[in-house]
Amino acid sequence: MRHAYVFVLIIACVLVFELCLIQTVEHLRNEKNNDAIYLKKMAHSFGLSDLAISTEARYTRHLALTDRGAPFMDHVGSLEHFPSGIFYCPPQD
Amino acid sequence: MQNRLNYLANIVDYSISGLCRKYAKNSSVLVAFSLVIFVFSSFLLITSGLKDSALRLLQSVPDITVQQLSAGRQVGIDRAWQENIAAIWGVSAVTPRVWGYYFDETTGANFTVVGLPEAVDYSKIHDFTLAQGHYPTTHSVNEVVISDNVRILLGLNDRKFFTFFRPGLSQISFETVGVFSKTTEILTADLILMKLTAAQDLFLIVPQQVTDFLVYVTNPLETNTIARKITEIIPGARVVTKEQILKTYNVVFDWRSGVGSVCLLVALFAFIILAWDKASGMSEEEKREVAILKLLGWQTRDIMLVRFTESLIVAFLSFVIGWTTAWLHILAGGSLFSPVLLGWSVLRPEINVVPPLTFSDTLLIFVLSVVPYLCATIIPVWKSSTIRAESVL
Repeated sequence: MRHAYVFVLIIACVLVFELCLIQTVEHLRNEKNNDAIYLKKMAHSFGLSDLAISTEARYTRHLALTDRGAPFMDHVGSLEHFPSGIFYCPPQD
Repeated sequence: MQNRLNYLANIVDYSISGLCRKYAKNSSVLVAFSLVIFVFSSFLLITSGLKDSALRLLQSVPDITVQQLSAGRQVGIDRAWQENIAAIWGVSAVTPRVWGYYFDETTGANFTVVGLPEAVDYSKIHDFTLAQGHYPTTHSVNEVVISDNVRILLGLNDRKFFTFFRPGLSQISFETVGVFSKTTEILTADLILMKLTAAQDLFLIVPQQVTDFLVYVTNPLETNTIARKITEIIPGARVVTKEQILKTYNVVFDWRSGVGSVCLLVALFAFIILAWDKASGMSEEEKREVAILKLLGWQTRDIMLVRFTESLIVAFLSFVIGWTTAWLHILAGGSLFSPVLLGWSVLRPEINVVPPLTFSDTLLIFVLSVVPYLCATIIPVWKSSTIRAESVL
């Protein structure tokens, strides 16, 4: 078989795979949207302002309720040293 | 039309044969280029997924959160201010809350403790948010609801009671009456929910003080006006509106963060190396090949098309491999970024985000990766195809 035909066949397979991936993503997002209805009510009732991802430092656990100085408040001359700190930009005042 | 298609098929045939002949070099370029696109796409997808989750779930946070600052640090706020805030026209409800961090020395974990008043109605969220048990009841004293992560970390197994230390090292015992379901992990991974009085007792906060007030506003358009009025009433108050919380999550995931800059610099240096490799000239063998093709009657245009097709195939395959593996990586939990995101956290929740699949993001990755590569190949392609046959052979 000619190389060009093999290449077209590969592209077709890739397209089919990508379509399956898109379908999976859509399915997972629909599931997440269903969960979100209750999670929103929960955030409303408890007043939860942040996602619980980084729990190592208070300023990365509660990004929304912290301020720019928080990473440097632990003691005089304190430097920001938690690994998760490098993932986020400083919150806006 | 048939001739044109046949011509293009011949060009693709020859390009693929050329790529196969220089197998070692092209496969290393393919791997390096795919890796660059993978890192680049993964960062874009995980930040997009986290931002999407935050903006979706935090749409319903209280309209205003009121805290007290003293010497630039947050301190307890007097409960007496609750009546003053409630008296502002347009405020529908004010809920006092105690929350803080409890560092457990045995496990080294930081728990987020939230204490809410008895009046909070849990009935609307009860079924979905709890895997087992119930929320604290009105007649209870130290009943708590914890996440599964906290339960495992405290080593509770089937036991219901556990003990924490107050600041004065006296002990306080809690009874676990409920466990949050796994689907709420993104909000509750480190959460211990209890009654307001129990949280005050744990942190030794006097009954007249709370950590903050959650203010609910009747008309969202009046939020900023009410927030301004609260700052005028309470000296040194920090007032955070829902709009500010959402704005924060819009800006914290960005290329200017440390990891973002690293990804960008890696991609940039990889492109410079690839472009330099392409522009650094051809080997004697490649020059001879062009010369032979010209002697056989190939035009400059044909040779340029072959070289450009070679670059296009490499770029396209790299994009597909890098982009697809990035999606699979993020859907599988983003193990490349989770060590950074979780850092030294003892509680390690699963990062289970599903980024939105948008055409604009895909186009951005394509334009920032494939197009510069193709542009970097234009001049070397032109140089290689304009070689005079007699100067080489």
